[in-house]
Amino acid sequence: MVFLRGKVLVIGDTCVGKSSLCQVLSSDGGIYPKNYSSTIMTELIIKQVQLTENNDTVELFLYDSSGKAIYFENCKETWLNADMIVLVFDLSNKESFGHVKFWYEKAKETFLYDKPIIGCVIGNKSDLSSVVNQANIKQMSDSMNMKYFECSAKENQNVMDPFKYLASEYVKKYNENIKKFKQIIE
Amino acid sequence: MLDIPLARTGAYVSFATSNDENHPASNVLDGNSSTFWVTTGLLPQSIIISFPNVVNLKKIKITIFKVQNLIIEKSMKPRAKDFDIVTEKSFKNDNHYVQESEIEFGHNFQARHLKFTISEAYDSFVGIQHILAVFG
Repeated sequence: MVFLRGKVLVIGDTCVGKSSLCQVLSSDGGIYPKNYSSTIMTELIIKQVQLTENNDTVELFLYDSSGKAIYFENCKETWLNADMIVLVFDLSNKESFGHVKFWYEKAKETFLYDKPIIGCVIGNKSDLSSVVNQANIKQMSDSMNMKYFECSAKENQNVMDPFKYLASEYVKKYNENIKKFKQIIE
Repeated sequence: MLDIPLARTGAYVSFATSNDENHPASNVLDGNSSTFWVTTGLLPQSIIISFPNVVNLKKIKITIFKVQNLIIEKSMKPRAKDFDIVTEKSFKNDNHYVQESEIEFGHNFQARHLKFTISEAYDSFVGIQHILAVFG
């Protein structure tokens, strides 16, 4: 049983539902903001994820970053020392999907070292009809070595799954690191 | 003096920002090469080592994993507060060996508490195997 903490960047185009996703997640589906409110700079949301296996807990520090270009340079300063990435796009907006790679590359620049990045791609607004080709999504997520999830913040569908996945990968990494330290000592 | 575990001289860990019951912070003082303290995520991470009284220190040796930047501070107060920076050290990334560093303090270096802060790291989790000291 371990208790870990990790910094997660939640990034993607403006209006794709990053903040909705974070708020629905942190309130366990209790709060869905009905009116649009653009995030200024970065908002911090903390969510504990309990894993059933081994009773591990991961506290995710979600850095919900504004998707607006004018905040971009300032947002990047808050991205240092991140452990995980969540790339969000809107299934009903083709352009937002096209920009996922851009956000990935930008976030990668702030990882100053060669550690493999834990992350996932989320297609939000699955309650609307999708205009993005499934094969394209798979190809892109595979190229970044990330798992793909579809969810709807509005309907509170599958919102927990991607974050459970991140938490379990993070615990896996922790255990691997300990194993590596032990090998180095011997 | 480097061979005597600090725990046997009365030194103890008075504060640490991470705790995993299998790899507790007290492992850095036990002199056992097969144990270490591991941080459980986020930066910075700190550990404070307190001595029962003010001690003269000649040098310390530290062995760590995956640390990029380490800040060492000291305090003379009975309680662990009002720290002054002693030195800052950068390390190269190493996947196969522990990172070792010896820090010489020169003459008349006194401290009651030593604080080690990991401000930058090469991975989400870092480890500290030993903190050893030579008394003056």
